[in-house]
Amino acid sequence: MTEAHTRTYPGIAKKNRFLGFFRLLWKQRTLVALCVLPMTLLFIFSYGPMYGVLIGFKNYLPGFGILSSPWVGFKHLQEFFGNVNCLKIILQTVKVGVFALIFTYPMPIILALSLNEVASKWLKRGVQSISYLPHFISVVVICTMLNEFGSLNGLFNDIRKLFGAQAVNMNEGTRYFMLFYIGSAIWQGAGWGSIIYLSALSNVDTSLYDVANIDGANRFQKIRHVALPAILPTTTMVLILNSGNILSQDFTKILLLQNNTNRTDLDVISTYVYTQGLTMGRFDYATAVNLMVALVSLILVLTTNTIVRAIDPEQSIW
Amino acid sequence: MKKLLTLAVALILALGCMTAFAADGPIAGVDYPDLPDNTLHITVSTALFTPDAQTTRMQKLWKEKMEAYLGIKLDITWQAIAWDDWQGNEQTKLVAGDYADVNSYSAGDYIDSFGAAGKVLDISQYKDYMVYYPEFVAGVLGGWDGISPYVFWDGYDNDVNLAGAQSFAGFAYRFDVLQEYGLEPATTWEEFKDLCAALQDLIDDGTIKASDPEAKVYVMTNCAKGYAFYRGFVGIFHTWDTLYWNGEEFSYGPIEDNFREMLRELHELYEAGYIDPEFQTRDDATSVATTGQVLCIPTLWLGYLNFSYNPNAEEGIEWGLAYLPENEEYGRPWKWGSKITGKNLGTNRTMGIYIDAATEYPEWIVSMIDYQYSPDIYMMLNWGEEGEDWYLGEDGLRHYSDKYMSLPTSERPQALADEGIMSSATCRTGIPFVPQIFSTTAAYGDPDPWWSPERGYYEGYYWYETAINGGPESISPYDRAPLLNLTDEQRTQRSTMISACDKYAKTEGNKFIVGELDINDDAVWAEYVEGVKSQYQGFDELLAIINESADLSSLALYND
Repeated sequence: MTEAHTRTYPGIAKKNRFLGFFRLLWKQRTLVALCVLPMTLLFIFSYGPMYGVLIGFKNYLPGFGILSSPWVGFKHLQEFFGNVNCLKIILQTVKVGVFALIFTYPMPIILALSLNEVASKWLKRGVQSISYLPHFISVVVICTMLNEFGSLNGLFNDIRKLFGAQAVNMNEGTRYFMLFYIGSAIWQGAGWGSIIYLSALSNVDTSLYDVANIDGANRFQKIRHVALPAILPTTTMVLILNSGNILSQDFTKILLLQNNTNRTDLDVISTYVYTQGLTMGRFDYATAVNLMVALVSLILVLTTNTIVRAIDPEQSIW
Repeated sequence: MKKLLTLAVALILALGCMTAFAADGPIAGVDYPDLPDNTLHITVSTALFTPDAQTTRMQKLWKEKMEAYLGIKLDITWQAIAWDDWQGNEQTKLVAGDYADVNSYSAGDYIDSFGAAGKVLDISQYKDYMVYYPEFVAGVLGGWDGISPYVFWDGYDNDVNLAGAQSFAGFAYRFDVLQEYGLEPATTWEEFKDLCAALQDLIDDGTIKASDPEAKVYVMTNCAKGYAFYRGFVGIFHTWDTLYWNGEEFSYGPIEDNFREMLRELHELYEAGYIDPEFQTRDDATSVATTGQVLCIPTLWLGYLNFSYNPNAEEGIEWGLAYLPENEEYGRPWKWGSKITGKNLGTNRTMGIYIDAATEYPEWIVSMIDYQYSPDIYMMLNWGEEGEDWYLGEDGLRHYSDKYMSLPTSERPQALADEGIMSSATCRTGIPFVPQIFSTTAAYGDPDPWWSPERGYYEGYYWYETAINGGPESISPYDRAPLLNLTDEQRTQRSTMISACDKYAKTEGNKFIVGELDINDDAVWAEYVEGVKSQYQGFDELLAIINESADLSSLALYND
């Protein structure tokens, strides 16, 4: 009956749907008004500039503008893949991203769960405040500190000497880079990142803990069966969002930890794009490389979401 | 008769009008557009140097002189940004079209495509409005054909007519240590290696100690981590750390055999333990140079001695200079930056001033910037005012007044900079970049300790001594390269290629020095060479184009 109706009067159905959409918008006009500003910003700063990706396929002559520059197809991507450092840069990007995700993602969760177990409010708030503080230190200051601490006469070598180890120049080469990069990321980010989980934990129905107590659950079992499921949606969402950032690390920190002994080895795609694009003025080449990264990031987000959906459809974003 | 009289009156009036019009501008017989209120309202975007030029006496004098010369009032809105930020965003601002009427510039060939697209003023079309800049252009090989016409390039007046040099033309040694142990700076590469060994022995047996007995002493280190360490040695091995003219062709230095030979030698020095392990990661060598933790610094701007090392050194420590040691296989070491005598725009033009093509009164602006190339302006900004800042001595030379010379040497640059005097080397007055002169370089600083085999230990100014000790054969071919006939786009490509390849060579070169890559392994070297070339697609093709475009006949125009 419905099919026949649709087939017979398709125009009317479409018109009704169209009008219905606007009626809905009018009905929810307050919400729509709230969305106008964010949507405008999104359009201006995220969608508008997409026009610029054209230069990734052009021999961009800055003075002549985007449209007047000649097309070169995939020349810039070919050049990137022809660079001996290409594979090194991609691998370094993935390596830094994956290691950062593995080590920095669980830390705020662990910290939040631990803080949730602290009974003393005074102690809990004190630890929370102290753990947030490093987040407010500039990355420039952090890197200066790391460079100083890692020098032959620096703090880290003083500690090594206490244990009988020889002093080494930790700023040279790539050996200590991961330790510096991830260690400082955890130190800076764990406290701040735990806020979202603490917020989720504060909404847990306390009667669940009462029931667990009656059932004789120990502290670890309560975390496992009450607290963790409560923050699972949040952790899943953060994981999906973080997986999209695997290829876009804290490039400022990497840039500041580079020196003449490791510059080409520590380059990740974002630092490479920055130096090629902004310091060398190769906007076309840098755009092509960055566009490729954006596509890979999109694939990573979609893949993660697909995996999550396969495991638990309720937890996936789409 | 009436008709004749009317005609004569009309003629007189017309001539009178023309005379009045011509008197409006600084150059007689040239048309200048009328200005509202007889005032030129413009914006100037420039880097902010320390101190801010706007607050200085010289900047006020610059404006007074400029207004008197132009015969108009200047209403300038300055957009000054700290040097690092300004330089870091320069290219982005150009692309975005976010520039002022007049802009300081430091990105070399990059501007050419903007000029070709008509975004930036082609100043060669306004030669009628210039008097002084063409004198500097004439000093460049090929004149107007040898320079990009979109920038008033930073100039200099080599008024002492010496092909001296200011950096990478000498090694700094601890003279107190050498004299105490009967040693001398090296004149040959072999002597240098022997000297390193002798100093290392003195360190190992505990004879030479740092101020802090716990601190380790090394024979040598790098001046600052921004420099590639090998930069101090390339001249000795007759190569260079980037694209350069080697006397026969344009070549990329870091892939030459000479360069490999240099890296091999440096690796041996490193293996022997002579080089500080932090040579590429320490921000600056001043802290170790002034506390006795290092005995030789081969990679440095020679001015560091006078303004950084010796004034801050602990008691008993004295740094001195000697010319680069000679490698017998290559002959007299090349020095970097040997200037051409007289007025010039330099051989490696990167800095200058450009004008927005859409500016309303380019004629006035061109004349204004041109006047900065007059001795009236650049001598004043480099020396200051006669009487107040300098006086003419009985020797017929200019000398800075007691106001500065009574101060300790290390305080003189700041005192000069506070007045906006450019010889301080810390401030740039006027609209940067106003030409610099050389006669001031030795005028307010104390002479450095120097050593040469002929004169032994003595005192001299690095600018003169590098010219005297190096001799004419030390002028590198790079500093006397032939004229290139490249298109705007090719010049931009050359600039891109150099930046990309230099960055790669810097890191990989260090790996050879510390032994992370085996300099003696031909396969590793070949891989490195391929790596350098892969940084820019079409490396070999562009190098061939550059060589084909070289006008060798232009070499005959160099007169020194």
